[in-house]
Amino acid sequence: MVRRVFLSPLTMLGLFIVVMIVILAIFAPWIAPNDPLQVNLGQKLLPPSSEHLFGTDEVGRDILSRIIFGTRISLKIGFLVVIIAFPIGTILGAIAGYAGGAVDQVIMRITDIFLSFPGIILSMSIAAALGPSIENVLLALAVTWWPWYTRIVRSSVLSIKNSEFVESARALGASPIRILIKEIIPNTIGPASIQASLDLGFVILSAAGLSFIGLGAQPPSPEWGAMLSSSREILRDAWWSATFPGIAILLTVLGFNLLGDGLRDLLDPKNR
Amino acid sequence: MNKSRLLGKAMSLLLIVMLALTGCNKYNQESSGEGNTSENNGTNASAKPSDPNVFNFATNQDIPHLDPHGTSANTSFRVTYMLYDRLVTYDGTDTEVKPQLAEKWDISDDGLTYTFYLNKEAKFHDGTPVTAEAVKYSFTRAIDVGKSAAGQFKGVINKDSFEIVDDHTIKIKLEQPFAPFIKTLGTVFGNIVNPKLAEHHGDDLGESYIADKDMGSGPYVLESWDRGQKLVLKANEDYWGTSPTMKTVNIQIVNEPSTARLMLEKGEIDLIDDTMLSPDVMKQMEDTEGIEIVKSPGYAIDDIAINMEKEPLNNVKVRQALAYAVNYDSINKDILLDAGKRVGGIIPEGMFGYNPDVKLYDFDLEKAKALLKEAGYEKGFDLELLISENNEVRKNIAVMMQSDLKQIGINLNIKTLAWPTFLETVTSGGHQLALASWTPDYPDPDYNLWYFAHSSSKGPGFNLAYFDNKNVDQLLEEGRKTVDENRREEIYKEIQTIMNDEVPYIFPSQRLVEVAKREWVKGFEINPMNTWYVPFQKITKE
Repeated sequence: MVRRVFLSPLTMLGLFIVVMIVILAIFAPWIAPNDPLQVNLGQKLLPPSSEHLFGTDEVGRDILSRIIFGTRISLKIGFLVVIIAFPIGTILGAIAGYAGGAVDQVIMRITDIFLSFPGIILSMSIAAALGPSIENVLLALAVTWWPWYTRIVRSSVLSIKNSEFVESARALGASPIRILIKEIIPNTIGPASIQASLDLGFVILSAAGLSFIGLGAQPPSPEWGAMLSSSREILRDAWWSATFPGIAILLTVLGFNLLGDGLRDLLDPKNR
Repeated sequence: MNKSRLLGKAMSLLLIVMLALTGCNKYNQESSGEGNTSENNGTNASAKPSDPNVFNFATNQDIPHLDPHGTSANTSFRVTYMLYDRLVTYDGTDTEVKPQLAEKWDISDDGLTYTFYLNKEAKFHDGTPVTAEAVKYSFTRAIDVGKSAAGQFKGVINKDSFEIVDDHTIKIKLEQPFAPFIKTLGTVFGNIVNPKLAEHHGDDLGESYIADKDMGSGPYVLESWDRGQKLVLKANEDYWGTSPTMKTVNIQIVNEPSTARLMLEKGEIDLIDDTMLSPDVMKQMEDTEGIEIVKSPGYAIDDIAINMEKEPLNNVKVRQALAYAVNYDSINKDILLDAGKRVGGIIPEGMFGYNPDVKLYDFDLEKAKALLKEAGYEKGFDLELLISENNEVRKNIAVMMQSDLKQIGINLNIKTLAWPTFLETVTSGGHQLALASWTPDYPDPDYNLWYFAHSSSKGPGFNLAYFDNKNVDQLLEEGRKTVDENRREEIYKEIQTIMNDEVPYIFPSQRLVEVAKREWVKGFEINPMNTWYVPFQKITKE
C-alpha cells in the first residue's frame, strides 16, 4: 500500500502541497514576514520587491503575510465543514440504509430536497440569510454538504446489510444500534472518507467564492476570496493584488484534489 | 464524476489566473511606456467621438422607478430632473436657484407669501401648457405621496397653501417663515407633473402608473427603458427652452467598475457616474490619453454616526476619545488621495452657515487613551462598525480605524452589509457605529442639521446618532422661523459648536467630486450638492 502512494507522482505532488499548506498554517506567525493586519498607507499598492515579495495591497498590508495567514482560515473552514457534515451524513445514511421502509423514505427525500438545489446557490442563500461572517459560511457549507455522504453511505449499507457477518451478528442477538455501530458503519466508511478528502478542496473553493461575493470573511480578515474581491477594481494597475491570492486558492484546491484522487485509487477496491 | 468535476474546477481557476496575468501584461506596457499602448489594448485615443449627438453614460446603480415625487434614489433623480421642469432650477456649479418654469417671483415682506409668474411658452410633452393648476396639482401630490418630498414641506406648506390667481400666476402661502423655501423648489421634489396623471390615480396616487412613464415638460422625453440594462432619453424637439444638442442619451447600467473603465477607454462611454470608481483607479486613469478626470468642490461629507443610546457610547468622553483616534490626515491624503479635506461638522465649507472656528480633533492616541481612562474604560471594549458593501473607500477607512483603535484597546469589528440591510439596521438603531456619507439636496444648513441633529429625526429621519439635545432642538426650530440671515448664521454656528463638543458624529472628510470622462465632452459642470446631476441638456461632444 505504501509503495503505491510513492509510485504515483501526482499523488505525491498533492501530498507535498497539502503538507506545505498545513506547515504554513501551523507556523504562520513565525514564517510570515509581517503582521497581516498592519495597515501602512504610506506603502500602499507597491509591486513585488525584495521587501514585499508579493507586493502590498490597497492599504499597504504585506500580501505574502496575508496569504500565509489565509491558509489558517481556509484550512479551518475546509476541515470544520467536513468534520460537521461527515458524521451527520454518515449516520443518517447508515440509518436509512439499514432501517429501510418509511425511515429510509423520509431521510432520503429530505436528502433529495437538499440535493435538488445547486450547492453554491443553497449555501449563498443560507449565508445571506444568516448575515456575513466566516462562522455562517461554515454553517451554510456544512448544511449543503452532508447529503452527499448520506447517499454514498446508504448505498454501501444496502449492499452489505444482508451479508453473512451482519446476519450472524443479528443471530447472536445484537441490537440494531450495536449492529450499526460495530458492523455496518466501519465497513461503509471507506468510500465516504475518500469523498471527504476530495471535498476538502471544493469546500475551500466554495468558501472563497462566498467571501468573494461578500457573504463570508469580513475585513480585515486575510481570507483569499475576500482578497481577490477587494483587488477586482485595481486588477489592471496592480496585478499582484489578485494574482497571488488566486494562485494560493488554485494550489490548495489542486493539492487536496490530487491527494484525494490518489487516496481513492489506493483505497477503493473498484478502481484497482 | 469526481475527475471531471476536478478538471472543470481546475480549468476555471486556470482561466482566472490567466485573466490576472493578462492584466499584468497590460500594466507592464503602461509602466514601461514603450510602444503605442493605446493601439495594443484597443483604446480609442482619437480626439473625435464616433457620434457627436449620442451621449453614453455608465452607472452601477440601478434605477428603481421614475415617479417624480416618490423616490429617494439618486439614479432616479438624475432621470426625472431631465424629464421634468421645476419652478426654479440649479444651473452649473451655482448653488443659488435660477428661474425655470417661473419667469420671476415675488416674496412678501413677512416672508410668508410667494407669488410665481409662469413662463407662458412652457408646455408638457403632450402639448398642453404648464399652468398654475399643474403647479398646484404637483405640490399637492408630492405632499400626499408622503415620501421624502413631503418631509421638506412639512410645517411649511400644506394642501391649502395654494391660491391660483390666473392661468399663469400662483400664490403659495407658508405656514411660517421658512428662509430656504425657494431653494427647496429647485430640488427633484419640486418637479411639475402633468395634471392628467390625476386620471390614473387609482389607490396609489398614480405611483405605479407613472413609475415607468414620463409626464413632464423637460428637455428630454423617455424613449425606452430596459430595466437593469439601459434607459434611453430622447431630446424634446419641441422644448419650450433650448433644445439639447445631445439628441440621444443612453444611461447604461454597468455593474463592474473595471468594465466601465474599459468602455470609457475605448470611447464606448463618455462619462462614468461619480461614485463608481475609487480614488486609486482615478489616479491610474489620469494619464490615459483622451480621458479627463474632472475635480470639483463638493458638499458631500463622510460621517461616522455614533449611536448615543448604546453603552459605552453614551459617555461623552468615550465619543471624544474616538474622535481623537481617527487619522484624518491619512484618510484624506492616503485613502482619498487628496480628493477630500478635513471638515468640522456636517455643514460643508462653502455653504452658508459653515463654522470655520470649530476646534478640530487631531489624531492623538495618547489623548484618546487618557480620555478612555477618565471614563473608566482603560481596559478597552469591543465595538462594531457597519459599512455598506461595494465601497472600497469606506472599507479602507474602516480597516484603518480598526488598526488605530486597537492601539487604545478598542477592538473594532467591521460588518459589511448590502445597502438595503444597512439602511434598515441603522434607521432602526441596530448599530453602534455606522460609516456613511451625506449630500444636501439644497444648500441650507437647516437641511443637514435638521436631519442629523433634531431629536424628531432619530432613526428614519436620519439622526443616526440618536442625538437628543434640547438646546439644539430649540435652536433648530428658531432657525427655521428666523428670516434675518445674520441671526440664522449665528444659530447654525452655535449648533456646530455644541455638536463638536458632544461628538454625536465624527466627520472624516469633505469630498471633492471626481468624475472620469472623455476629453471630447464639453459643457459638463458639477454642482457641489447635486453631484448625481449630469446636465445632459447642456453637454456637447466635439
